[in-house]
Amino acid sequence: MRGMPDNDVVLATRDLVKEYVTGRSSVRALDGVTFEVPRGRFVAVMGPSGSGKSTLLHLLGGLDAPTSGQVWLEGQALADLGDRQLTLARRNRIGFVFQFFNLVPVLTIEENIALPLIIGGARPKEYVDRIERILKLVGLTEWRTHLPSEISGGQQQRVAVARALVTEPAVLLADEPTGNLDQKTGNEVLTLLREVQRALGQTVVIVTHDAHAAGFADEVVLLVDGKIKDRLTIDEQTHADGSAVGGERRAQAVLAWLQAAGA
Amino acid sequence: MRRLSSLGSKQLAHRKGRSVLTAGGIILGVAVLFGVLVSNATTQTGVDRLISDFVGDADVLAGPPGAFDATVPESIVPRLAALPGVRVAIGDYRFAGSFKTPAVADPVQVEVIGSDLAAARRLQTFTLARGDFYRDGATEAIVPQRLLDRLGLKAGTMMPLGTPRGIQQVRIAGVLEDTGAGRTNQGDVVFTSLATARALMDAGPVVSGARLALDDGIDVEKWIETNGESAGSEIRFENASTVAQGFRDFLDILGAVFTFFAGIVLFVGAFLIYLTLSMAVIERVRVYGTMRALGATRGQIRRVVIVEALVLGTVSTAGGLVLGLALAKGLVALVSNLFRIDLPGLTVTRSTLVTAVIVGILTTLVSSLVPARRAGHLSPVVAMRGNYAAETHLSRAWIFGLLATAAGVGIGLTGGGAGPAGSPLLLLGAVLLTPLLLRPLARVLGRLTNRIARGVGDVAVLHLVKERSRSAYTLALIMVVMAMIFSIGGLYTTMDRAMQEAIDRQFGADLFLHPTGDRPTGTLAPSFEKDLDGIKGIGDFTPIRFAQVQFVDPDTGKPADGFARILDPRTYFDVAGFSLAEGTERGAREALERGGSILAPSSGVYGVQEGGLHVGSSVHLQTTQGVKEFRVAGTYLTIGGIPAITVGIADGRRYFNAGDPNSYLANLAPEANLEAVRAQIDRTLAARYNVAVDTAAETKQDAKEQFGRFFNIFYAILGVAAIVGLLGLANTLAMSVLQRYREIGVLRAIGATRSQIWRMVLVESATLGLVAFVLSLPLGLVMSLLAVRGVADAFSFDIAYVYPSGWIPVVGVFGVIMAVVAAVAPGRRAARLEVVSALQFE
Repeated sequence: MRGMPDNDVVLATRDLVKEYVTGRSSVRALDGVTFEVPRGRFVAVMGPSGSGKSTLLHLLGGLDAPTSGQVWLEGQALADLGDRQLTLARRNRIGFVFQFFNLVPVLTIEENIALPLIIGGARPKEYVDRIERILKLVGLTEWRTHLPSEISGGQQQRVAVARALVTEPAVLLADEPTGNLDQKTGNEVLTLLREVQRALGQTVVIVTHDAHAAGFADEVVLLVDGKIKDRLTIDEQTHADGSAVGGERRAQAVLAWLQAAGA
Repeated sequence: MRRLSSLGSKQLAHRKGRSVLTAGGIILGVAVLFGVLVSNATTQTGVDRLISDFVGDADVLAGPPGAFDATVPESIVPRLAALPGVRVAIGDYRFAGSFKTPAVADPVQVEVIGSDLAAARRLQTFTLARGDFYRDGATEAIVPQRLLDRLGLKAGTMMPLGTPRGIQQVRIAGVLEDTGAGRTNQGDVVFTSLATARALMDAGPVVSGARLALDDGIDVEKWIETNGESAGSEIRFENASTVAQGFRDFLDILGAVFTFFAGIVLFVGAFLIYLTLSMAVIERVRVYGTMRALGATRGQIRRVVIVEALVLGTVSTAGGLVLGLALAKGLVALVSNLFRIDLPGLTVTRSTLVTAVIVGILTTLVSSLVPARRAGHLSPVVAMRGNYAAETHLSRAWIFGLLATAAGVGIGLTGGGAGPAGSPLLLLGAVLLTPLLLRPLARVLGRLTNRIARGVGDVAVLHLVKERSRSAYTLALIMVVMAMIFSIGGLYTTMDRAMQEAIDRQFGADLFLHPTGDRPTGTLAPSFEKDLDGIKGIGDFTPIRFAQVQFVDPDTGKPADGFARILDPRTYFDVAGFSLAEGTERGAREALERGGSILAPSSGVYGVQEGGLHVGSSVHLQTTQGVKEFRVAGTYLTIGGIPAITVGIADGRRYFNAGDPNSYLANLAPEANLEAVRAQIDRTLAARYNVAVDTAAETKQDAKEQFGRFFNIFYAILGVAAIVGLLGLANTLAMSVLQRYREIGVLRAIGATRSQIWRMVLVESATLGLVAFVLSLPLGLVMSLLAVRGVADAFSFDIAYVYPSGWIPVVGVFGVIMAVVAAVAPGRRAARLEVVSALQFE
């Protein structure tokens, strides 16, 4: 890849390096990462603990700045943006889902979902329909007036997904979205992300250490010691009757690939 | 939620307990400030009313300079009436009397005013409740209803009026309503005819002075300037609206001192807000980080915090105003008791209300700026990790702290007009230095306190040692409160010691004989001295007289009112003395005998010669023979009351209308028995001369009690500051427990008992309290020095600083109580945590 990526690429990086200096020592969390996320794709970034996955996500989302290298969002170099422009980019073009949900405890479900729009100064009548649609999409219409403390972990994560989608972002970034959930609930959240990706053409990037979660993606990128070690494209496999191959088979495929890669 | 900024109010409502705790700081701070301002305004209104009741519609008061019982020939009245612009001129004869009836425990001092009723009614409203007005020349009088009720007397009966000529029976002809003239001298007044009043005192055709009403539109000051010399130097004119200006100025200064202390309480309250908002920011790190990740700008985050503070500030200020009214009532009662003046219902002016509201809201706003900025600057990545590490690095604020401390001490000790700015600077500096000092002190003192919770106490101390800002600023809050207690204690100790010494030296006599009542204007008849001499067991004695004097600036001619003590130098120094700062007793005695000299307070007299007076200084005084220059022959230390100069009897008679003595100082003869002498005086002289006897010990005790009442006001303000400090400490401990839920869960899981956990919280509280105590000692020492300096400068007192060592245990005990009380709720909460939920706490 040379120069700016083409229009079908939502996110791209080139020779991305992130170094943390603490006192006299320094740690290189990312060591020259170059990759692209095509529009409408579901990409999972995997790796062992300390591989730099979350660091990569933070850089992709403009939450942090690289030590060197470039990040582009829809062709726009993030390094060219000032703090305010980056903030606006996060508000309007990127959606975040966090491991610990990060909902505002004093706001209702509805208010939590609308938060990015409220931050942007939108009036309730401007977004009421959109909220309605999103609540329906994530199956939380009847919980709209509840507080986060009154719903389950899985429901909270669905609220987080809804919040990430409310601004119709170019990309949705999720940092270990199932890390704080049991397998069943985690599957539900991942299924939701998958459905959102298919129905809305939403580009999704998740960071995970869980092969099962990675199995929901179209493509898996393996990060080890801050470098991309391997990539896996998971074909959409179907049975003879046309139904999609279950998640367990996809997870097995990922595990086998990981083993082969020596991860 | 329509706007992001309203998130602040939601967060407040979500943590009601915390919000109430935080609001408490501002509520109390605003309450004290508002209470003091209202109390000041009420006192001023009360004094204005007192003066206005006294002068009625008169514009000018004319009277002889000098002694309170001085008189002028009544022929002066028509001369005054003839002056241009005079609409009404009334002469009256006044003297101090008293009543002692079975209904009252102590004699009630009254002002007896003899005047022509028809004339008097042109200046004051006399409304009879029942009975009749007095007749000219008849031994009868009219008195206010309130006085009658107090004395348990009835209209139409005879009342035993104590006069300098003995107790005389006067018929109560009528009863005045407690309005208009009935409120003169706060209702402690007896009106009779001019002739009757003179007859009661065996006085000739004289008057004590005259009251003049001028034509409408005449400028009173200009009229006095133009006509001041017309009646000769035997009469001086005074603008009725500025009567007792010296006392009013004294009250203004006192009010300013109270306001200053109220300001410190508000500072402590503001600090509590800052502390709590800072903690709230830490607690909400993940929320703010998430919002930054979602696209909220730094400004938006700051506004959330500021709106939260503003909502809190507005509600707290409203609460503070309500509480302030209650505090004002208490303060007004204290002031009223202290100065023995009736004060009306609370005076709440618009400006007072607006000031309190603006200060309350602004204080909260200013306190929120740093936490708001911190919240806005949170890095989204660090914030989203949620485990915001407590600040362990030392910010450079301590450098400013050092500079501010040095500046505060320097400015405060320099004194003068800028002096009061020293204390706030010093406080700010000390607060900024606490993060630097906490670690080493906690490390050392923690070795003592960790014994409260063996095994886990070290954990609490280690947290304090590592964590800089939250604990440090809580420590600062308590340190400031303790230092304030210490500084008030230092002020009290110093002034008390100086007062006792001054009384010992200047009232060194065994007995103090004076007309009944506690005002200095009563007199004793000329024959008293001879009868006193006849009392067995009485040794040397000396008469004391008091007079009003007017200092005159020689350059501008500007006058300032003051007081003089007139003594007989031939006998005074055999009985009592002075705490002389300059000069000798022999030199003073000779100078006073010679005349043309005075003794004066070394600090000067406020309004005149503010730089202080020395032997050889000149003072110009208005006398019956015009303005005269007097040389200062000696200076002495003064404390308490309003500073007075001292004049010899020769000059007193020549220039200040010195008449009958106001009191006597007497020593017992060798081997005489005090109680026996006292009993004899009571038996033979008390009734005849209406005289009371106090011993030196009783005089000291009385002065000490009055002094103590004065300080009650400070203690009331301090009490509020202590509560705010307690709230701050409790808040910090609660936050500390919250942040360490998981750690507490781990400790419990590995075998710490609930009691150990409770005591661990107590260790943290006790360590903070102990460090604050240690730091408050030097801070309190310097603050008390500055306080003594400030008071001395403001009131022209001369006092040598006394270190309040007796207050060290007081502050120590206070610290212990505070530490224990603040730890109760957080400690219980920590002890009751269930292990599993604590371990899972996020």
